[in-house]
Amino acid sequence: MTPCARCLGLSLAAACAAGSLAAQSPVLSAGATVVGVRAQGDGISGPTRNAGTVLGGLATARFGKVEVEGRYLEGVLQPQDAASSRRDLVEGQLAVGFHATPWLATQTALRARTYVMPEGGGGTERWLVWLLGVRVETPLVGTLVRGDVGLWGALAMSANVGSTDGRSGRGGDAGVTLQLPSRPLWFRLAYGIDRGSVAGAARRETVEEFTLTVGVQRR
Amino acid sequence: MIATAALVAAATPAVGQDASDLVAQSVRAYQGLEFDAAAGLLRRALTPPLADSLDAAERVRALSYLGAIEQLREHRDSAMAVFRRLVLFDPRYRLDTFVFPPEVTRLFDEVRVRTKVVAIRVPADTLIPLQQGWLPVWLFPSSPHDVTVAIAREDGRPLRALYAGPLGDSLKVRWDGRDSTGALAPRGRVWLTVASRSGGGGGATTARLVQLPLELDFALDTEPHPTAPGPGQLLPERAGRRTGVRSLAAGLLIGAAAVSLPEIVAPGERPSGTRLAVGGTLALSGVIGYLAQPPGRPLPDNIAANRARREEWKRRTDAVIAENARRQRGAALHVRAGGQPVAIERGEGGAP
Repeated sequence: MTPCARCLGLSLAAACAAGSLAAQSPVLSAGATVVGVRAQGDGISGPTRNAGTVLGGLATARFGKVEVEGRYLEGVLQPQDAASSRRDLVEGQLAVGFHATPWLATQTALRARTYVMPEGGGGTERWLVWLLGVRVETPLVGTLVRGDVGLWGALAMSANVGSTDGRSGRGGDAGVTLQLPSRPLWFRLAYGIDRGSVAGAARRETVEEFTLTVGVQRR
Repeated sequence: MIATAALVAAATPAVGQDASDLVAQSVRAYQGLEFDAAAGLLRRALTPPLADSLDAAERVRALSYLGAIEQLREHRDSAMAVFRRLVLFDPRYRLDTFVFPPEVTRLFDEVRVRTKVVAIRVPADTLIPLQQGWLPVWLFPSSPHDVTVAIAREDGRPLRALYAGPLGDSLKVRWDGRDSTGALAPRGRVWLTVASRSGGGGGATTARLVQLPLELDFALDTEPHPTAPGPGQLLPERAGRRTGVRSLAAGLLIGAAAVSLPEIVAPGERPSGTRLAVGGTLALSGVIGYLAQPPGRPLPDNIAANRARREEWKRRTDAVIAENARRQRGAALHVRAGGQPVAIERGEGGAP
């Protein structure tokens, strides 16, 4: 991404956060998540296929129109074919969102994803993405069930795959959230997919995530 | 004869001569016993537009000498008229007995006693704390008599009675900036009115009314009340014809988007079937939303959300009301009395 786009993203996040953080009582939320991950890689050494179930958690604080979210996942991805090898996955994300209207939000986030290869398998591979995206959210059954869909693009990306040329990334996710009436519990089912690529290293990584989250909310 | 002609010629004002010079010349003529010439000069000095350039002290001096001259010329009615004008202009003024002869000062005193009028003195610019402050008003009568002091609205309707009774040498009355009910007086112009009453007992009548304009303002900066939530800011409390359809359409659209995400984000990749589970759940939620929200059905979530919004508005309004009340307790009344008093004749008592 160009420096201009980076500045735009940073400015947007800063302006949004400064606009309404003050004098707001936060809505806090935390949850545990189970994610079915399916990773497909393409590189000089050929395609790789891995899948597995990873566990993690997330925490969210919403101050009026501004939302801050942190997420962490960790688990093991097993090889799905003979050419692939077992990989450990560690993923973390810190995001700041701004709800411009009840149904539209923008979000910028820093996401780090690390694949730890077994000894002799190539070491540790790190993907670091600064992303900017939009999300549309709407009630489906009153305020009991809500649906949302979001798309994002990478403002900047870094990956230790041997080259820095032609880096790009994008992704999206959609989900449905059930908020129990008169109870702080909520459940979310979501599907997400993202792709990062480094053309200079002929490297491409596509990750699908099928997520089930159980959370509590406190006002 | 020649001397008189020379004096008259000297006393004739040149073009551009100002009123102060005329008064000074007339005093010299008076002292030279040239009463006709002195009277002519004074009448000229007291006639607009020359009279407009006289300050208060010069005007009083001119009227004093003119009244004295008319009396000494045995023009008693004219002298009384001039003295009456003098008393109305400055009710506190007294003729100097060392300057004027007794027959002049006696006539002046007679006119002063018969002309019931009051001089009003008010600070030009006053800031009065509303909880403890007062606007002081000093009253000086031409001669002792009964008065009624009040504050009236701009259109003349009474606002607050301040005093009714005898006025001797002087009197100080106070106004706290409130009307007869205790409420703050309105912003804008009000009149301080002093009615001089002649006669006595039940037969007293208002002889003259002196009105002084007062401009009122409040040094008070209150906050506006929050706007009540309008129809556009509240959620519908009953399902409309489109409510269910909107849920259905949204569920189907977002479900379709979930299914299509791999094509958008990673074209050419072979996606897993999990997206179908999420897309199907979204579509099913839309269908349930459609079926669960027939037209006219109350929407409890929206009702609760609207109630919370109205309560929030009421809470903020109460806070503003409390804050404004606190500010009003510390507010001050700003009174400007820059205008000239207006005297209105009200009957035979005022005419000498």
